[in-house]
Amino acid sequence: MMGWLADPAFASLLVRGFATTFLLAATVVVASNLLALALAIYLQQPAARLRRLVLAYSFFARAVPALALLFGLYYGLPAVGIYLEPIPSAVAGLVFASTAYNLEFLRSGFESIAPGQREAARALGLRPAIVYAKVLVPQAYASAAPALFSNAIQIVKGSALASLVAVDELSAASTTIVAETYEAIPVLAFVAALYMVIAGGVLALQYLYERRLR
Amino acid sequence: MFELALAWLPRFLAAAALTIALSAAIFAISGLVGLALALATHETKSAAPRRALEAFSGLFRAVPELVVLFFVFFGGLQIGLDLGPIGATLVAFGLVGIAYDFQVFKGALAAVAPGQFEAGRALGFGRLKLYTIVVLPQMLPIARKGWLTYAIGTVKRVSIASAVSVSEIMYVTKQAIAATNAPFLFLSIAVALYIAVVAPLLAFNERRA
Repeated sequence: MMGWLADPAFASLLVRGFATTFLLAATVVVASNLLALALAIYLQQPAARLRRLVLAYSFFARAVPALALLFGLYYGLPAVGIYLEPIPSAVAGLVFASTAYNLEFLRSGFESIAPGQREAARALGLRPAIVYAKVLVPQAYASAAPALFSNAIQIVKGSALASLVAVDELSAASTTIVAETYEAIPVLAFVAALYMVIAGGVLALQYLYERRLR
Repeated sequence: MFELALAWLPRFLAAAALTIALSAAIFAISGLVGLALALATHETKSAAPRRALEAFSGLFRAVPELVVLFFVFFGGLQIGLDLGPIGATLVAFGLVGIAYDFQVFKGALAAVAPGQFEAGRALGFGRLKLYTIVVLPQMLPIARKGWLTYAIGTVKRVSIASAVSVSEIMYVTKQAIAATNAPFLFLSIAVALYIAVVAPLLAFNERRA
């Protein structure tokens, strides 16, 4: 039943698929978290003039399926003469979708901080950059972390959608192998286990982060 | 362009209706079974069923919906069980939904003060009365936000069923693009349909209760 695993062609498909999924998900997690932090800090500024635009983006990105965004880049860009490789195109679509969620989590993280914290930091004469770096951001993360970590797992899962726009990641590898071997159950169970390895890695990071907080 | 949109409109509306119907069915299955499982584990004293449920729930929350869907659809065919695209979609997304809603309801149950259970029992309520009169009215408002957030996501997640050729919104979009080579027109229609369905739900869930 697991004979297909010994086939070097299938094994290398799986290895490359796993590596692509891992790198794709890691890139999207890092990029969407950095962008979300920048936007969340921006929204904290009373003078944020593009506030409405950022909020409209967030609403749009959360109302539309990630798959529609991926199709938009995949079918839409070539129509206007822009040719992106499948992977950068998938990264762009997934980052667009996940940044909005991370932004919402960080926004409520910042809102949960007692106003006295900011005032006290200012009263100590700290520069605004230090107020954020040392006082506000760590507290926002303390309350947003569980949601951000579970969104990271959503991103790992969402990366499977890239297989529908021509990225040869883990799910694409599994459909190729299933199409050739007809061994849907063992192949997909094995691939599911590989996804759980990555999700397990995220949970391990979360555990380490939460232990450090205590 | 307007004529092209008009010609495809009936198919898009049918696709939107299918998306809504599938989402509603998945919402009902996962809500009812997830709630029943949460209540059952709360009642049972033995650890084995609880551990099995947690393993099930952890598994189906960690694996991509697309892989679960392929597993049900192609795995079913491998053992001679042809669920069809829509049947496989309901089973796959139902299982994932149960895994999530179980966690939501488990958390909400844990948030009901233990004294409430004791007080209900002290009043001589049977199990049915205890849960319907005392526990559920307290836990459902706690569960509401997480439950609805997941349910709203379901409307979007159903787009994944296009991969097994369920003719929901994204599938029809793909077909229309292939047939006419007008990607922006049809993607705009798809996005407009999703916003029309999801935006009111998001706004409802985010208003300050």
